[in-house]
Amino acid sequence: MGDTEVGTGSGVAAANATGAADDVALPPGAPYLDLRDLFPPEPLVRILAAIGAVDAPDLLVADLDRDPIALYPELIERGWSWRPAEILGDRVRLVLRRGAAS
Amino acid sequence: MSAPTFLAGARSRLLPPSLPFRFFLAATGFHVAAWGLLAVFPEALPGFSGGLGPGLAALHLFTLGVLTMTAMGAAIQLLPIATMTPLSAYWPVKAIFVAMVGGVPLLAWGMASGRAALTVAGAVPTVAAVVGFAGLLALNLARTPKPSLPTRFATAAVVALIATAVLGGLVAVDFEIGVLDDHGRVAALHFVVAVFGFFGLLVMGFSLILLPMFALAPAPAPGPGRIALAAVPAALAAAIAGIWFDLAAVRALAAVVGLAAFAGHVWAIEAALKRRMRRRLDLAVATIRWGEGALAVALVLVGLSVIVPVPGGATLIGWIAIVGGLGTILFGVLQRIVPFLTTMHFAGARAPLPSELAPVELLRAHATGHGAAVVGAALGIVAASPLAVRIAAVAGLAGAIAFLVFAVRVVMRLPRAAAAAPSAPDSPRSPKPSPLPPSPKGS
Repeated sequence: MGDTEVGTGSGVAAANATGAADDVALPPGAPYLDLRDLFPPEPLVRILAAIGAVDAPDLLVADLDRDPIALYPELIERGWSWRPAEILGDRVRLVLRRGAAS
Repeated sequence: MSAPTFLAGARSRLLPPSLPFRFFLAATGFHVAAWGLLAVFPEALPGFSGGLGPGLAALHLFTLGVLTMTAMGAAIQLLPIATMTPLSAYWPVKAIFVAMVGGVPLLAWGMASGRAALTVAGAVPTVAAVVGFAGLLALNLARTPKPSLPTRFATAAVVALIATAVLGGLVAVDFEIGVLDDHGRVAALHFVVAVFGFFGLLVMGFSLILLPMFALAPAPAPGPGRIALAAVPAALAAAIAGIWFDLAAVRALAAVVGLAAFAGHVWAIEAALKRRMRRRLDLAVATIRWGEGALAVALVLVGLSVIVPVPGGATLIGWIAIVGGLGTILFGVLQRIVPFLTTMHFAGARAPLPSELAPVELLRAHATGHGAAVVGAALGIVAASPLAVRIAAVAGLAGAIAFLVFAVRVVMRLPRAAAAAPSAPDSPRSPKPSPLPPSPKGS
């Protein structure tokens, strides 16, 4: 799970550096996880590892194969909120932000 | 550049809660009925030899009413996630539920009262529901773009489920019109294919996802699972041959192969759990582990029974496998996914934590009652003591009521809009979004 630490591992990159943000406007430099081709619960675990890291960002973007419904209660527990998942071609994009929804 | 499409169904796998919850609540109701029946007719368990009577009725309240209902509710919610393929329609799920809640009580009533015609009348809708459920799963599995180890386990389980339904139907009809030369042998095949085939394979497949998810652990190493996926059907084939041709050594070999495959599968999951993020595991994981242990004990007893007589014989083995093993595992699953699915249907800002939905003491009461009942009834079978079975059944009944109260309290917390049944044509819905808070400075 070490490779999901935001900003340090191979599984994470800045959105504007990888082209992941091509389809939708994202804040420049938003940390990005490409979690496609991973089977449940691996995407969930990697996202939670990323937002639980010591140097975790306040915003995280992740692309997945499917809507990770098991993730949402975990986000609530950790005080994170999310934008409704979006379909972008063959992937589902999640935008997560630190802080409970208002 | 294409415009993003908000999830309206195509990728969302969260079903309207009324669909899986109707199965879960029915399962908890049948659970109470099963223990209640044993409390009233405790002599039926130690003396059980497979014929019509309260023992057979209680057994089928557990297998069809509790285990199958739970498996149905869990599968319709979890399988589309695993296959990345939504259910094409909801009406078959509703029809299956109606056939089950109509058929299973009728079947149990017919069995308990010794009325073969009533048993067949209950078996017809029940078998139809089970075959329909198998068809639903098969269609969903066939459409998955990316087959995986858990979905392959599910495919093997579907094959076993169809065989279970056919064999069960034959046994039920045989009570009325005598179509089988050897009723007992076909009933034994029905038991093995159902317990170690359908339920065993389904539990193994889903545990590859659920246990790591509950513990927030990485996916288990696939090697042992792949071996188990090949070994369990081989063991089942050997068990079928051993029963049909009355070859004790082949039955023992089947048990050894099955046990080795299961042990490898559990080892891979436990190795993954060691790398979990959630330090403290909850009662659900402990419950599932106890159930796995009971299943392993049942397989050991199957093998041992070839060498030495096992006190309580097939009745004890069946009890430990069905109620101690599968029942314990599925209640471990149920106590986690019912609150979890309920939480999912709240808008993010108002969503309670799953642990806030109902008192955990109810789950502890269930675990205590269930554990005492499984062990107590096993002792009652060994000692041929109806009194021990009655005491155990009362403990099981108390635990079952505690679980029913837990499930009802959780479901009562569902937001009213989410709880409403969807109208046809049904379409899967997306999880309630949690609006993002204002962007913090600098992000």
